[in-house]
Amino acid sequence: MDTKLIISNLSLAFEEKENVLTNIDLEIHDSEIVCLLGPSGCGKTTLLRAIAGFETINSGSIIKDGVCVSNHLENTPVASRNMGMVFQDYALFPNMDVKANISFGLKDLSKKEKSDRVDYLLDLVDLQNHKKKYPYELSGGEQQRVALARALAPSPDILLMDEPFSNIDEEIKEDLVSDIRVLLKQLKITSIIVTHDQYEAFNLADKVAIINDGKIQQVGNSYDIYHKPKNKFVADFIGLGVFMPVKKTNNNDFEIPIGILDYTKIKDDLLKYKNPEMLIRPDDIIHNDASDLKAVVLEKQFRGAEFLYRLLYNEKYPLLCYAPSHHNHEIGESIGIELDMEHYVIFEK
Amino acid sequence: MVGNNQGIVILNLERLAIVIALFFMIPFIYLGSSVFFPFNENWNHIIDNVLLDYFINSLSLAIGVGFFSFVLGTVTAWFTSVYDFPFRKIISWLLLMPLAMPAYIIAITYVGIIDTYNFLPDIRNLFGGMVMISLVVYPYVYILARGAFLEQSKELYENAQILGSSQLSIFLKISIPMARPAIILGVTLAAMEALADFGTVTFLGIPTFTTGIFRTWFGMNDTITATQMATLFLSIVFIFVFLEQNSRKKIRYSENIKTQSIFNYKKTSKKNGFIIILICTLPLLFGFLIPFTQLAYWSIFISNEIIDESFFKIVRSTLFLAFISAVIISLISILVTYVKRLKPKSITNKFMQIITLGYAIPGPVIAIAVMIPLSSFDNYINQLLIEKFNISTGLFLSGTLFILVFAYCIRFLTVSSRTIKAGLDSVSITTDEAAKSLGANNITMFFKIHFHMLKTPLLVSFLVVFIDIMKELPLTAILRPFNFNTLSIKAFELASDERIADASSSAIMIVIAGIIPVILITKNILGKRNKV
Repeated sequence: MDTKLIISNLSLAFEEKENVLTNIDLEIHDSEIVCLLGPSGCGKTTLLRAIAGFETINSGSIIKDGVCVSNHLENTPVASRNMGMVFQDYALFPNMDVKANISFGLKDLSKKEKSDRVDYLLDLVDLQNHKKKYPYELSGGEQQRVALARALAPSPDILLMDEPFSNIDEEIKEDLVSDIRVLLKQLKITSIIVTHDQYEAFNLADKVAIINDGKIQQVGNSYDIYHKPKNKFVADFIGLGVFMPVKKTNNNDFEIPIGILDYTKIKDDLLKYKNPEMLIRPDDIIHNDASDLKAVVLEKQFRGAEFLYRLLYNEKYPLLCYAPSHHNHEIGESIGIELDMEHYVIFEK
Repeated sequence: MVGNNQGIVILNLERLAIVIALFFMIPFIYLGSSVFFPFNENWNHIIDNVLLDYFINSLSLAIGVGFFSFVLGTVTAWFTSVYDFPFRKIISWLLLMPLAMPAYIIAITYVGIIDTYNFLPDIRNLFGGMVMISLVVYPYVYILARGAFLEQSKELYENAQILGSSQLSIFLKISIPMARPAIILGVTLAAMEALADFGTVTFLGIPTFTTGIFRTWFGMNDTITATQMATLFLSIVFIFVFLEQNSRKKIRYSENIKTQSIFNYKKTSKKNGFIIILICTLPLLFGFLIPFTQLAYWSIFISNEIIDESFFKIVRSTLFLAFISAVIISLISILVTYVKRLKPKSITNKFMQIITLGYAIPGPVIAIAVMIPLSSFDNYINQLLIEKFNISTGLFLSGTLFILVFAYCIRFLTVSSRTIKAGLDSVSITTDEAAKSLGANNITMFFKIHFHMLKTPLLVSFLVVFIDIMKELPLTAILRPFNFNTLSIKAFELASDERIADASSSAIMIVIAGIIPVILITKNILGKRNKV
């Protein structure tokens, strides 16, 4: 796979203040879909805007197709970067109809070619019947698709999307997210998408970059991000989980309060930390009425097909556990659990 | 690096804006520097004899007008936004009509009426001035308070009713305090009009700061002392500006947290409806209907003023002056607001913050602040050219319409740029970024997107400025070129010669023209809410 975009050692600050982004390194391959995921205010949108050319960077560089587009001295103008952008509020031109919006960025084409291109894009986003409508006549989802078509119209090298699903109703969001992924893959376009929603990122991305406090915390595929978080922030931010203290036993094993585990798998980790703690995800705990290991139900959340139980083990250790929803236990009841760990994730307390 | 034209385009627009803004800074710099001029012996006379009077009169006028406007404005706003009574819609619209009436014209008219019917009390005193000005500026409070009342949530009223509050205590304890930022803004605007007034107080013979500056300048021929008085007076005016801008911020804050409300008008009994109609028509009657009818009657039946070529000449020069100035002001407003949007950190914005204070500065103060620097410049150039080339340029800036248009810009740029800014703000900033990411530069972006969204605000701003200039008195009177007359000057001169009936033809034309922006304002502000 060819490399499309290389961001190296990028730092950015607004007006002599503290860095908004610090030492960002990120490599994006051709046709790859990358999500920048992080809590609000982490700098993910600023990074996207720096890639687009709306923000100038203080140090480092952004190299697109082997050509530097941003460093501390130069900033290729937005218009010359050949990147398409979909904004959070879509930013459709209110005085133009759908057709005029989509053809806004088309230059050096005959009228016929323009109109063909617009028709092709309208087909792609399934809006053939809305050509003459104005933005205010469209629903949120339709506006978003017009914004996407408009950004794709000049055949950009890279598509940038800033929180594209934040204004979309929950019910249709899931379908829309997978539709967009299929579309982007079909067009083989390199895409960078900013989101704060991890499930959106998991569904969309080939690669997720977790950002916090202006720094990249981890880059990887969704599975690795969830199961092999590199630091405590990622472990906390992604998915649910609790931490339990880890102790070494005499016969070369180690134990957490609810069980004994294989020492060899994490020997190196244990040597590194003084007070090691292990991440326990709800899927590491299996509910089994027959088990001798018991924990008390503190809280339960009904989620349709399953319950999420918040448990307390041995009056000290909180735990989370999913159980099929016909296992309806009362608060205060002691229920049987089993440990089923695949990935050992250990951090310093 | 490819295609950097975008940067160049911003730079040029910004440079143009900076040059213009710097030019407009001249009068402000002149006023500011006047505190360093040596004080002369006229100051002793002014301090000993008149300063305290000016101070007390100006301030009492401002406070009195603020108070009367508060009462008239909030009471009418409350009735028209809470109760349902016959003719509610038309009355709530007509209550704005006094805005069409310049204060000096209503004063002229009432003096004429009083001279005709001797049993009426004289209004040629401070109290009379307060009443006259209040009758035409209370709509500021009315518009803002009504807007605030209509935005208050229905649940709040219902809640108060469930808890046993009477209508009166809801009004006093809930509605007024909640609408406070809007009401303070309206009252401050009304008080600022009173402070800046020149025509009414001159005509009614009330010595205030504005007339005092004028008298020192032209009566004592002492520009330095007049400038120093102007600067002193400005420090008082700016206290009100501070109040105003502060309450604007608060309104913005409370608008952010407002809840959507669907307002139900309360039904009234026949008797109560009649009382409400009576109360609401009083300001309308005295602020518009009576003076308008009287002016119409005079101009048709009594006036000796012949509508001939010389009258049409005045009409033409009034329209010409207003048109040219409104076009120039609108263009400058577009330039500076667009530059502000493109470059929020540009130095132009700092200058504009100062220049847009001009709306609060009384006419005679602006007049002296533009006249002295420009005429010194004219004289300097003239002298230079006579010495070197024996050519006389005369007063090519200060003796022509240039200086008048320049002064209008300072006075009316705020009105215009506020309207245009609101129009530009209706296009989100990301829309600009979207256009740029699709390859547009600032000029194409303006003509393809912003201009279309600006059509209505531009028209509104143009018309409002146009009519304001038609009504304007002190700047026009002081700065106009020799032999150049407008309707407002004609009306005021005839009235000052005790030919009030003859002044009515010019006066009524100004009032009729003034109705246009009132309709526009109604459509823009009340129109949306009336649908509710």
